[in-house]
Amino acid sequence: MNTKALRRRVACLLLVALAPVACTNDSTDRRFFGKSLLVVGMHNDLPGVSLLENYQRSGTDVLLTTMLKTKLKVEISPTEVSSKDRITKLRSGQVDLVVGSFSITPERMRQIDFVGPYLTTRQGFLVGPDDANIKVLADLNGKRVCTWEGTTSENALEQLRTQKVDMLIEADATTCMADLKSGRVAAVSTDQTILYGYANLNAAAGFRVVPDLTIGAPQHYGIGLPKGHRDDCRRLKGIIKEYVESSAWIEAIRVSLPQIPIQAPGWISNYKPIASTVDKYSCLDEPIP
Amino acid sequence: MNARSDADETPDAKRGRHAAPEPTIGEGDPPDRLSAEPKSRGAIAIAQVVGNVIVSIFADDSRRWRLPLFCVVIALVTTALLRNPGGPEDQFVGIYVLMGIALPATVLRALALVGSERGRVSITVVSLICVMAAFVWTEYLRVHGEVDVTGRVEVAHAMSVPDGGRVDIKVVGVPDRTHLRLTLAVRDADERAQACVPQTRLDLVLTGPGRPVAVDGIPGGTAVDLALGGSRSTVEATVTVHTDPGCAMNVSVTTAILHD
Repeated sequence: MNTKALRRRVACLLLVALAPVACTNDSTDRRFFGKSLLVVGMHNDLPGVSLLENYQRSGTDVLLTTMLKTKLKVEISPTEVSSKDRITKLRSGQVDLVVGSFSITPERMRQIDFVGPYLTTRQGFLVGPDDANIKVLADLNGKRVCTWEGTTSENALEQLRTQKVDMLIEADATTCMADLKSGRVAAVSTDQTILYGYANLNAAAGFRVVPDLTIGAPQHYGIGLPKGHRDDCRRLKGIIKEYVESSAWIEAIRVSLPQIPIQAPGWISNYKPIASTVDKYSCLDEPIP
Repeated sequence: MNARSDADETPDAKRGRHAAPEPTIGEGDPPDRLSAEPKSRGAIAIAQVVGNVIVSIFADDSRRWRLPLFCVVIALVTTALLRNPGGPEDQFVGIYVLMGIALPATVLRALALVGSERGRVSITVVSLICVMAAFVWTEYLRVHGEVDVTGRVEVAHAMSVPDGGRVDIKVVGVPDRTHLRLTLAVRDADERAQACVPQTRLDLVLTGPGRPVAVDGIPGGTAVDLALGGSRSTVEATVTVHTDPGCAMNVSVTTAILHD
C-alpha cells in the first residue's frame, strides 16, 4: 500500500468518525423560533419580580429569563412591555416571548400559547402605615383600592364593588404606588408576589402585605409565546418542568422576594407549581382537567 | 332419482301401482294402519315440497326464486332501521356492518350475477344470516341498548359554583335500564380572571331510592358509570365541586347515557 492510498483511507475513516459529532452539534440546537436572539417582553417596574433600576435588572422573572438563556443557548434582548400590551405585542411579532407576571387564563390561551405555570400566587392587598387596621375584607368598606389596567386583578376587584369598596384603575403599578404613598388610596391590590416586592422596597415606609387577605382565584404565571410554534413550546415546557422541581426555583424566591419565606408559612406549597400542573396549561388552547 | 325398475319393486308395491288400493284389515295389522299410511305419504309430499322450496330459495337461478329473497332482505333491513331505538351511534356499527353485507349479497343474488350453484347458496346463506342477525340485534338494543337522555337532564345551581358548592342533577322520564353513564364538564365561570379547571374535581352521589352510589374525585370530562340499583323513572344526583379557594366554576352535563 502506497502512502497516497493510506492517506485517503485515513481521511475517509476520520470523515466517518466525525460525522455523528457534526450532527449532534448542529446549529438548530442553538436556536428558538429559528432565531438565535430572542426579544423578551418584561416589566420594568415590579420590584422583586421584574425591575430595571440603574441599568440593572432584578427579580424572579429576570432570573427565569437568565436560566432560559442558558438552557436554550440563545441571546436574550429584554424590552419593556406593559400589562395591557402583552398579547398584542406577542401576536404582532414585536416580542418573541413575554416573561412578565403573566397570568394564564382560558381567554388568553385562545389567543396565545403559555408555558407554565412557573409561579402561583394569589391576589392580595398592600396597605400603608395609616391603614394598619385593615385585616379582613370588611375593613375595606368605604375605602379606595387601586389596581392597574390589563390585569386579572382588575376583574377580581369587580367582586368588591358590591362591598362598597371604591376602585381606582390606574395605567400601571408605579402610579398605583404613588397613589398609596400620597394617601389617595388605602390599598393597592394585585398579585401577592408583586405586593411583597413593593413591601420589601418600601419596608422603611411601613408598607405591608395584609396576611391571609386574598380575593379571587389563584394566579398561575406562565411564559407567553405566539401560537404556531408548538415544537419550541414543548421544548420550553420541558425546561420549565425541570425548573419548578429544582432548588433554583426556591433560591430565586429567597433572593428576589425575601419577605415571602419570612411572612408566608408553607410558602413553597402555596407558590410553587408541580411539574404535572405544567402539562395541564402548557402549549394548549385551553387548560385540561 | 325416482327411476326404480319394476324388478326392484316388491309384489305389494306392484299391486298397489296397478290396482286401486282397497282398505282392508289384515291379520296382525294395528288398528290405526289404515289412516297412518296416507298420512305419512302426505307428510313425505309436504316435506318434499318444502325441501324443493328451500333448495330453490338457496340455489334456483330463476326470477321466481330470486325476487322473494330480495324482498325479504329489504323488508327486514327496513324494519330494523325503522325500529332503531336511537342512542349513541357506536352501538349500531355492528348492525350497519351486517346490513352492509346482507344488502349487496342479496342484490347480487337478485340480479343473477352469481353463476355457480354453490356461489348462489353461499351468498343466500350469508345475506339471510346477516339480515336476521341485524334484525335480532336491533330488537335486543331496543330492550337493553344505550339510550341518550342528555336532553332530559335538568341541572340546578350549576353556575359560578365555589369550592364546596353543590349542583343538583335530575334526569326525568328515564327508560328502564340498570346503569347511567354520566359525563360532566367543568369550566371557569370567569375565563378572563382564573384558570382553575385542572385543580377542580367533582364528587358525585346518586340520591333517591335504592342504595346510594358515590364516585369521588372526578376530573371534568371524565365519564362515570353509575349502577342505578333497580328500575326508576327519575334519576337524581348531587355533585359537590372541589376547587381552589376563590375559584368559581360552571358545571354542565355533557352526556347522559342509560344502559344495561
